[in-house]
Amino acid sequence: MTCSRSCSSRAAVALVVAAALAAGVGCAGGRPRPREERLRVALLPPDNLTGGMAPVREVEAALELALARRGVDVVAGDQVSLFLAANRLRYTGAVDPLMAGLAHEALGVDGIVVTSLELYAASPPRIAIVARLVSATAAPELLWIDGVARAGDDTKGLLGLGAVGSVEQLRSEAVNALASSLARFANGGRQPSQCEGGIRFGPRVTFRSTWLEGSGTVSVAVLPFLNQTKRKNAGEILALEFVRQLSAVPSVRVLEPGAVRADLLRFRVVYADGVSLENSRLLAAALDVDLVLSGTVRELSDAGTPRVDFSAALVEKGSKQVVWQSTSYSTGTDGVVLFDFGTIRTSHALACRMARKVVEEMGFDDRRRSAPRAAPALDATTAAADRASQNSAPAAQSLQKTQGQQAPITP
Amino acid sequence: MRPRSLTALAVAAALAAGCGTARKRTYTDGEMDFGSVRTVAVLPFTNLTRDNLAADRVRDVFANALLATGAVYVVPQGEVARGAQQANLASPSPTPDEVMKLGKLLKADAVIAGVVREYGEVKSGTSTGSLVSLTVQMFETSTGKIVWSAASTKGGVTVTARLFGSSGPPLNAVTEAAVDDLLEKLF
Repeated sequence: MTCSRSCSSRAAVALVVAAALAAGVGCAGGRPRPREERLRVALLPPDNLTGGMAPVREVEAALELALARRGVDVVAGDQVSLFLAANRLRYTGAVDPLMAGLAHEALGVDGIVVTSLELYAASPPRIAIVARLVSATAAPELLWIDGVARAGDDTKGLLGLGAVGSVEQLRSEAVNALASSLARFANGGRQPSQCEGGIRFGPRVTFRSTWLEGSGTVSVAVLPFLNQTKRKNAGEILALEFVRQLSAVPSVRVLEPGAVRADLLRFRVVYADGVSLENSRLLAAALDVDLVLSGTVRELSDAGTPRVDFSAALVEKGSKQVVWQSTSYSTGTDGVVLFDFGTIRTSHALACRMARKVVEEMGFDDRRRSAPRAAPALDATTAAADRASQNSAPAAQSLQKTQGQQAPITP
Repeated sequence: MRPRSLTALAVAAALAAGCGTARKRTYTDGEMDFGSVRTVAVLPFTNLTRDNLAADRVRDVFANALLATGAVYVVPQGEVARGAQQANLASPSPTPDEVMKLGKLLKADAVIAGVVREYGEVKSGTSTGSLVSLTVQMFETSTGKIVWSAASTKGGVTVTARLFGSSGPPLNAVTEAAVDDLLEKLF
C-alpha cells in the first residue's frame, strides 16, 4: 500500500522546517544568525483538556520562555491572541488548513506549536502535556509530537526524598522537557523518544487482518474516540495519544488532527454509536488516507490507581473492512509485585504505554526506519538553558531580555 | 459392609447424581450450516444490571473476541448502529422480520443479540468477587430464526477468596472468561 497523499511533500516540508530551524538556531561560527533567517513558530494558547480550571496562560508563558531559551523564535501571547481574534479562530487544539495559511501570511511563521494540557492537579501534584509542531502550509503537516506526564511521587526514591511537592515544579520540568525535545528535533530531525512499553500494558483481545502484513507506507487519520467516561475530553486525549504513537512509526503518515476535525465539521459527521463504514469511507476519501482509526474510551481515571480502558479499530479505505480491532484495559499497578516498583501514577502515562503496545502489535512495516542517529549534542547555551530552567520560576519572566540573548544550537 | 458405610455411600451417590444432572443451557439448530456464516452483526446488548456501561463493555469484548477467532467477520459497531437506525430497530431484541431487514442492510449472514444479566462485584461475608452473567442468541438473517443460543456465568466469590480474603480476578478478566466460554460453545 502506498501513501495516498504525497509522502514526498511531507518529507520535503519536514526537511525544510528542520533545515530552517537548524539554520535559524544553528551556529555560524559562534555568531547568531540574523533574525530574518530564523524559523518563526507561533505558539497557540494551550488547549485545556483537563476538564476543569487550569493555568493555561502560565503554561503558555513557561513554554514560550523555554523555547526562546533554546533558540526558537516564538510568536506568542498578545500577538497570537490578536491574530486569532482578527480571524475569528477560537479553537486552539489543532491546526486546520485555514489557520495554517492565515498564520503564515499574518504572522510570517513557518510552523505552529499546538499544546494540549491534559492533566493539571495540585494535590497530589500531577501534570500531563502533549505538544506538537505543525507546518504553516496550505496542507498542514504534523512534523513533531511529544508528551510528558509526571506525578510528584514518580521518583520518590529513598525515604521519599525525591518526591516533588509542587505542581509548579512539575510544570517547569514538563515544559523544559518538551522544549528540549523540540529543539533536538529541529537540530537533528530526531523524533522524540517514546514512553516505555512493557508486556503488561498490551491489548487483551486483538484482531489483526493480513492486510497489515507488508502494507508498506500508509496514511492514517485518527478520529476522536467516543467518550463513555465521566471525564471530559477523554476521547480527544486518547486520540492524541494514538497520533503520537503512530507518528513514531516511520512507515506511517499521520494526519494533523486539525485537518481531520475540519472535515468532520465540513461533512457534519456525528458518530454517537461509533463510526459507520460510510463515514469512514467518506472521511478517508476526503482526507486521502488509507486507514481511519476510531475507538471508544470507557475509562480514563486518575482517582486512586490510574485506570484506562479503551478499544480501537482501523478501517481500510479500499475494502471498507476492519483490519485491526483491539480491546485494552490496564491499571497503574498491573504487574507490580514488589512494593511500588513499576507503578504508573497517571492515567496519561498509562494510556501512552497502552497505545504504544497497540501500535506495536498493529505491526506496521518499519523497513523505512533509518539508522539511528547519534543524539545531537546541545551546545553550551542550550545545556545552560536546561540547567537554568531547572531552577527558574516557571511563570513568564522577562522574555524580552531572553530573546535578545538567544544563541544558536550547534548541529 | 457396615450400615454406616452404606449410608455414607448412598449419600455420596445421591449428591453425585444431583450434580451430574446439570441442565444443558445451549441450543444449536441441527439443520443450520454454521460454515456458511461469514459475516455477523452484533447488536447492542440488553442491560439488566445497575452499571450503565455494562452492556457496551461486554458487547465490545464479545465482538472483538468473535472477530479475533478469524472464523467470521464482525460488522463494526458504528455500521450496526447505522443499520439499526435505518431498519427502525427499536429494541435490542429483534423480531424475525427485523433480523431479515437488518441482514440485508448490513449484508450480514447472522445477527447476534445478547442480554447482560449480572455485571459487577458480589459480596459474601467479608469476601468480594466479580461476577458476569450473559446470554446471547444468534439469528439467521435469511429466515430470522434463532439458530444458536447460549448462556454463561463466570466469577463470584470463590473458596479461595473466602479462605484468604482475596478479591479474585478483576471484572474485565471475568468478562473475558465468560465470553471465551460462550465462544467455545459456538465453535
